[in-house]
Amino acid sequence: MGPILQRMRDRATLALTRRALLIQLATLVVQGSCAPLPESTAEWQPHDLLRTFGREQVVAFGRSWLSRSPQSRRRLVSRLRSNGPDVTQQVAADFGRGRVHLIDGWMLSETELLQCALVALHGAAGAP
Amino acid sequence: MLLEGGGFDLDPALQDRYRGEVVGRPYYSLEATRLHYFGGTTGHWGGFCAPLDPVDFSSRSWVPGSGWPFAPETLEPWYTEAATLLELQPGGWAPSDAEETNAPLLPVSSDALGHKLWRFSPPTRFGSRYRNDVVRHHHIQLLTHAPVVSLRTTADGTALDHLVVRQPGGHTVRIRAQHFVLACSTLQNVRLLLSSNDHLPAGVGNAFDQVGRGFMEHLEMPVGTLALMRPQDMQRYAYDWGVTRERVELQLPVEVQRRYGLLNASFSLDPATAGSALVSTFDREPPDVLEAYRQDTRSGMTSELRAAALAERRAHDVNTVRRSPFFTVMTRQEQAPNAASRVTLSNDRDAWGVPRARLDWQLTALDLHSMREGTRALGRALGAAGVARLQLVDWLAADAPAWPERVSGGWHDMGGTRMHADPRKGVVDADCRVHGMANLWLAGAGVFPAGGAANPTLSIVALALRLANHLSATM
Repeated sequence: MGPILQRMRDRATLALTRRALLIQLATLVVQGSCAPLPESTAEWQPHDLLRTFGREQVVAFGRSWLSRSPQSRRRLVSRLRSNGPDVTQQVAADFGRGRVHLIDGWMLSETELLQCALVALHGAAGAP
Repeated sequence: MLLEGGGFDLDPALQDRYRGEVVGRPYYSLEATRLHYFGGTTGHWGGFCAPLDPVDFSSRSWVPGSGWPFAPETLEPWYTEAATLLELQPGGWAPSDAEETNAPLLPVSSDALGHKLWRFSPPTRFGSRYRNDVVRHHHIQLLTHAPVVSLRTTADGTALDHLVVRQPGGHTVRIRAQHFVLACSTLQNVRLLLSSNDHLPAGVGNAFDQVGRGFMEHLEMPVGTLALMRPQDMQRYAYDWGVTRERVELQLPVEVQRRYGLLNASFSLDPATAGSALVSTFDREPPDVLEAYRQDTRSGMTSELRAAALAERRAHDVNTVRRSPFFTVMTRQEQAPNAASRVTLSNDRDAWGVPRARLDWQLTALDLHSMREGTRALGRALGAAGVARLQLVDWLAADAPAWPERVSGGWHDMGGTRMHADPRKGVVDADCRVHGMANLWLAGAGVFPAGGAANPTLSIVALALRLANHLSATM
């Protein structure tokens, strides 16, 4: 292969790579805004509340919280993520620092209300 | 000599002497709260016992008028003796001193939440349990049906000269002695002091308008529902009437009380019945129910009742909690000392011609603040520990602080003849002697300057034993 042909091939490869990268980035943006977030039903489940109160009550907590503070799923996840990876610790910290709200008289932490709101949104979308 | 206004059993005509007016907050019928016969109100008490906490004796900057004129250690030996008389499990009063410590306590941070040990008397009915001891005692002369209707002072009003006793038939007797102890109950002591005004127009011991002031109750209220986050054996929190001898309750540590400006309180947990409304002691224990209970348990608990109670004893193990993790939270909160909460004399008189008592029970903003913020502090502590979530009753969850229509008490009449070193701030001194009177002492919960979160009987008996020791050393 001559040096001219080789330069043309290299340029084409670079172009393909750039296109693929752009497509991948676009896909990520689309996924981030519209596609379901698996972690919203698994990673952020309020396990203690679900075990004690059951899903119906947790959804009711979530709906009540959303009616006071309407938020998108993305925003809820973003807020939960920003609090750090250990939700249990975050809930405890909420109670310790007074970040507590009354829902039907129940004293619930802000973090777990975000979790309940996520469950409520999934419930509304028919997701498990 | 021991003068008993009643007999060995209740006589409605004599019990009527305790009838009175209630002009402040709604309260129980005064003739129902105290029993006018030998053994007195131990004839229907429930047996709940705990000593006052050290904080109850201290002068707290956030509780105006708080503080006892002596340290908690002063009462310690008498608490031990009182516990024996009340037939309690022996031992110290830390939760670790309980006889059964196998079941775990809720894993809460001790900085945020503590535990308080309670013990339960059978309950001891003094009238039946100690009747023979008193009647046969060589140094006690017991006169029944001998109601004191007046205290007569010396002309200079510095000592009692004699008591006037008017027997049911109308016969009047004067009783002279060197030393006198009034132990007629909180309200009746006040009534006698105020109405005995032959030489002292304001009444005995009332030179500074202190007699009758500072009436207190324990605010016993359902405050919410607790949901455990994980199944846990709750044996140590359980109470089954007539069966349980010890249990623990939750209590906010002194530092938390100080931080939020709270009165002392103790929180009990009882398995919640699904769908049942939380009711106050006013509604749960009206006088007719209490009277039926008294009749059934007049000699302690009958074997029949105890067998029934044992049969109904509930399981409080992990499996039970797994099935229903919900518990009713009841608080027993001290009432802030309040001079405006007082007992005075009614214009109405009893059949003996003695003015009846008029109760004007009043609460303060501190009482309400403590109930609201104390319950919230409990909810935060349980949540921070990951142990439970707390649902507040509606009136506590409301944005605007306000009492519900009915605030219930524990049938614990306290104050009115408060103990204070300064006669301008109390009726009796640290030895329970009436200020300005050389030979008159008071017994009973009326002398409590602060009521703490513990039911009063153990402290009443401890103070009586201490007073007896003091008089014995003096005489």
